[in-house]
Amino acid sequence: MAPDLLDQARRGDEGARARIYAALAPATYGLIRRLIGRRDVAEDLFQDTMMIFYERLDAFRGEAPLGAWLRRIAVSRCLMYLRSPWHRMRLGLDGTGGENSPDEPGPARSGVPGGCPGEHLDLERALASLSPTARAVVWLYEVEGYSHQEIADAFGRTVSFSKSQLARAHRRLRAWFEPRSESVSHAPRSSATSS
Amino acid sequence: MHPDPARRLRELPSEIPPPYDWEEFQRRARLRAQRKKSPTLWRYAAAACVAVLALAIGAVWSRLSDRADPPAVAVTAPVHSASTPTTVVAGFDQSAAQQWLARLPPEPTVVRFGTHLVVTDLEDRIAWVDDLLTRERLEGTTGTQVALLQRERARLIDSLARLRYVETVSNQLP
Repeated sequence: MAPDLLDQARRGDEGARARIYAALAPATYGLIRRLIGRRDVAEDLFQDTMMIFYERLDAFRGEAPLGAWLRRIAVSRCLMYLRSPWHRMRLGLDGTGGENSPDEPGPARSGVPGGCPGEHLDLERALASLSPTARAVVWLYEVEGYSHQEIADAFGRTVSFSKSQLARAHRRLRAWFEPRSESVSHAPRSSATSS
Repeated sequence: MHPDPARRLRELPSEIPPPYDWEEFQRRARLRAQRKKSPTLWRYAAAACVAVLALAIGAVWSRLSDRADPPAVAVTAPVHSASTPTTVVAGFDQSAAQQWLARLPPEPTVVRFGTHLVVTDLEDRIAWVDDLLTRERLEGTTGTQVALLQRERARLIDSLARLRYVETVSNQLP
């Protein structure tokens, strides 16, 4: 991100802010969709994140890339949501455990550019079959590069909590992608969709 | 494709087109800012909540008092005479009883509840107890606490096993 563009955005220049939005919004929304399965909630959190980002732009000291700073804000917002009692109550009312229903399009269906759409779709479904906590932990650890200690701090739990969530998520993902024989194939899927 | 799930996750595209453009983002931001700045709206909302709550309490209260009324059987029967079963039957006001029965809900509603959340919660608790056990063992505290935690863990595992059994049985039902 060019420093003069950042300066203009800090001064409130709409054009500069729009250009920053165009550059950073796709990655930010992508991250939020991976951490939060529900599209409506993800949109709310995306709006929150971007608003906080622009409000705090003056506080950005340039010690890390702007995108990384924005990702931190997004992760923080998502974890706040996952920890909130409202979210837990909502899961209880839904009875879905926070998983995407088979009818609800996952992120891949909403137009993921590039790659192999079929494989990505399957992976998105596997990811959606995890519990919200396990999904967040596996994504933060494997993709965002968080350490177990950082994840534990973020969730207000212990390191072994993070490790056990990660191990459970791996088990489930492996079970999802195991070569399917008639007897084994539907076990993880049916358990994911029936609950 | 690579069998390692972690590697597969990293291969997923990191960008997804945002749900709306810059103009729409600004419009929504303005809306939220207005909502924050308008305390009158909150006052109206709070008043509406209070009104709805009062109505709900009134409705529940009236329903409960209706249910407390009806036993014409219980009230009229002892008046007639000594409490023998025959006199109770004689004093039984059939039409009142039928009206009372008609006011009852037709049949209990069956609600299907997914077990996924309960399973996740149990697994979380087990993980939490495991954390505590590890910490207790590392700190070398008294055996009593460890024994307590182990007992709690056994109880949770037992609950999980029962739940899994119920799931299996219910899956086999037609």
